[in-house]
Amino acid sequence: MFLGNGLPDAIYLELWDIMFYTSRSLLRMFAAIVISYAFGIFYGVAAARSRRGELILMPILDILQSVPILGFFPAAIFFFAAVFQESWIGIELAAVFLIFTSQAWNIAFAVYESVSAIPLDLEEAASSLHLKGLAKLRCLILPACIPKMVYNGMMSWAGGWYFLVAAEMITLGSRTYSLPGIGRYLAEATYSGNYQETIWGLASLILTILTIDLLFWRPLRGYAELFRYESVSAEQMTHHTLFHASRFAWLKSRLVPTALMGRVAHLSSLSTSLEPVAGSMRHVARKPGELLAKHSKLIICILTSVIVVATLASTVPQILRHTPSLQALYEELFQSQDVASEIGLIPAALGSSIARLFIAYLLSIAWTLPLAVRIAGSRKTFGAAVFAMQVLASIPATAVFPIIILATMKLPGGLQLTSIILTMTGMQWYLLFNLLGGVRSIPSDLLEASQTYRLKGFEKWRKLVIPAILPSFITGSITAWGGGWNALVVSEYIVFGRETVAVLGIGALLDKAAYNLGSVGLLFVNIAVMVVTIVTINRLLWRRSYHLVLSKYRMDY
Amino acid sequence: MVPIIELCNVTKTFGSSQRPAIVLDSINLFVGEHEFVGIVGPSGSGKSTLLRLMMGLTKPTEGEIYYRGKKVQDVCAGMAMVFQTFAIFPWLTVVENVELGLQGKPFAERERRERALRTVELMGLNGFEEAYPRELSGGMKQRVGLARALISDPEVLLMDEPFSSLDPLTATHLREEVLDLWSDLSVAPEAVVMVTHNVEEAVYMADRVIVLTPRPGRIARDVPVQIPRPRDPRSSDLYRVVDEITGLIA
Repeated sequence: MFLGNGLPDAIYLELWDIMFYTSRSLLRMFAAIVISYAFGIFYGVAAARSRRGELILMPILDILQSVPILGFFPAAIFFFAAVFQESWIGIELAAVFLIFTSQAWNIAFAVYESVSAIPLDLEEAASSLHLKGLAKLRCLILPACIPKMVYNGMMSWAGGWYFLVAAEMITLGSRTYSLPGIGRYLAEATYSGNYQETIWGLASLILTILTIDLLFWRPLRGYAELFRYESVSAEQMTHHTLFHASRFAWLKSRLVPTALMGRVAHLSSLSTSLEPVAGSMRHVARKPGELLAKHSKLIICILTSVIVVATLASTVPQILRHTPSLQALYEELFQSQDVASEIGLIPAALGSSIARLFIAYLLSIAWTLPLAVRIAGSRKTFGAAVFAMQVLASIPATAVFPIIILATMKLPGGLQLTSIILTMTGMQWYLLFNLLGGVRSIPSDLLEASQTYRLKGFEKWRKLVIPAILPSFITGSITAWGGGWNALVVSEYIVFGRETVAVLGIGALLDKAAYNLGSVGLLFVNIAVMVVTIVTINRLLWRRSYHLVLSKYRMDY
Repeated sequence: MVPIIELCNVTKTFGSSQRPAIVLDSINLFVGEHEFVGIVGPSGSGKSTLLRLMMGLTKPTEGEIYYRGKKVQDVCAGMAMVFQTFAIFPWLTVVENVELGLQGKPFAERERRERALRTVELMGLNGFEEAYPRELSGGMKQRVGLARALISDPEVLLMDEPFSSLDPLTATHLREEVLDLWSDLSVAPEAVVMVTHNVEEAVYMADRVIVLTPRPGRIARDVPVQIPRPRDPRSSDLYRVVDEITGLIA
């Protein structure tokens, strides 16, 4: 205003704004991933370490994983708005909670799988060294989880960005809670047609994602490599020990083996000469620790129940005051004309959503499978190609939806095609990265054997590549479908400018229930239908094929 | 003697060109016709790398490798390899795994199967033709590995620690069978190169033992073993050679 030369200072202001928005979103993301890790470790270890825990916790995790982010909207709003009296911190926590719901389950699965897969000999070694409780957690269980935790953590991180827009604009009917953040900024800029601002926002977001990858995930990936315990061939081993000697030294001095080495030294030196004295001293010194270790389960149980009871006691009255009564829910569901007609649409919507997912799945396979094999096949370009793919995958597709929509809406398939492509954005990367992992993990001795026996072309695919990657293909398919179901809520119903673009589908019904009608009852009915469908498909199709494939195409022999 | 395999000044390094790790340094070596060569050395002396260089699985950083006078550029067609970890395909049956050895050879489907069955029998695997590898013991798996290598009548058989994943009794057994094959001129390959860290095994089986030094791998000594076959694994003649070699390594 005082500049007077007519040049708008808006860009500078906006750049500054974008940075502010980005850092707010980033803080939210970090808060959510930290909580997700804490939750994932606790939940995963609990599920893997006790038979009973597994029976209860894993099905719950299955269900939680299949609930799309919108399903957590009412919980987020009721809980945080009610407890924190609609203050900014309540909304902020609600957003963190929603991001958490797109990150946590995946990490819990990673921990559960890693802990279940700890080789028996390591378990036995730990027991023979008298590792118990926390020491065992630190020396055996956590290190065993690190590789998977890092890789699934990266996936979760990307998932968080994907649903950031939804998490920063929580709408339930007429009530909208929005937060300053890059997700909301992008959404508002594009939906109001300010494409220049969209591009600035996108650039800032991509830059942020790349920086975080470089500073945070990349070192973590290198670090995670040290915790793999698969057997390696002699050549790779010398390779490894030669070039990572320094890192190993660092590791030895810091983390895993300290306690182990301490104990070994302890046992060998003391046990011979000073055994009686040392024995009694150890006995005295260990008493409190032993007590803790012995009753650790009990202590954890008491602590958890105290926390749960305290939270419930302080929040339940608040929540109850804000929760619609059953009577109200019933009336809302069966008296309202709108809602009743929506319920009638559910079967057709479900069918068309499944068809949409299936087509998106086939299209995803069509490009990821050949690409994965090609990338993994050439050693020289592998690193660069994977990096390029990671960059592409880390761009939250939701942010570029308007561009995809503009580009595809005029194509022959019309809206249906657009929606399928948008659904693909939530599926394809899971397939690609799982397939890449599968191709890369073909044991080097099998590769050498097929080289020495001149397996080539079609025969090589039939006898080596396809069988070897089948397990990862199935895992990739399972995660891709999971991602696809969740992506339906953003790909079947899009508010674009002043218009709403929607196709028939269960995701669109969910969106309508949340954004348009604000009907919690309808939202729950839709989510229940979706969860039941997903869990049924998982149990009947995916789990069976996984076990079938594993029984024949497992890598151990 | 006519050399079948010849290595001239072969050096192999891994890693970056700024800080290379030299695994093998100026190796000169030949393998003659009807010769059983053992390669021993402490771990890290590049034994397995040496074998993979001969096979053509990796390329030397410097120097040349010749097979029957021709430079080795790609995986050699006249050689077959037996792996320490067996490297048999877990999703293929025994007979399918053995048939892999005929890959790229112009045989009809039936002929292939017949040959595979014959080799399976030769290796004492009859009754297990349709079994999957995970149903087999370690010794059986390595028999599959050997059958797969021998089915194509290779000129050179390369063995990378073939007995070190087996229990001692099975290993003793399989060693005898390999020696039986070696003495049977109708089935034996022209030459065998075996990498091992077991000095007794090398001296017992080989005509010549090449001793490598660790980091970088250099040839410390080329020890001929002039003990007539069949050998007694406990004879004092044999142990004199074993002691000589062990003295070089330790």
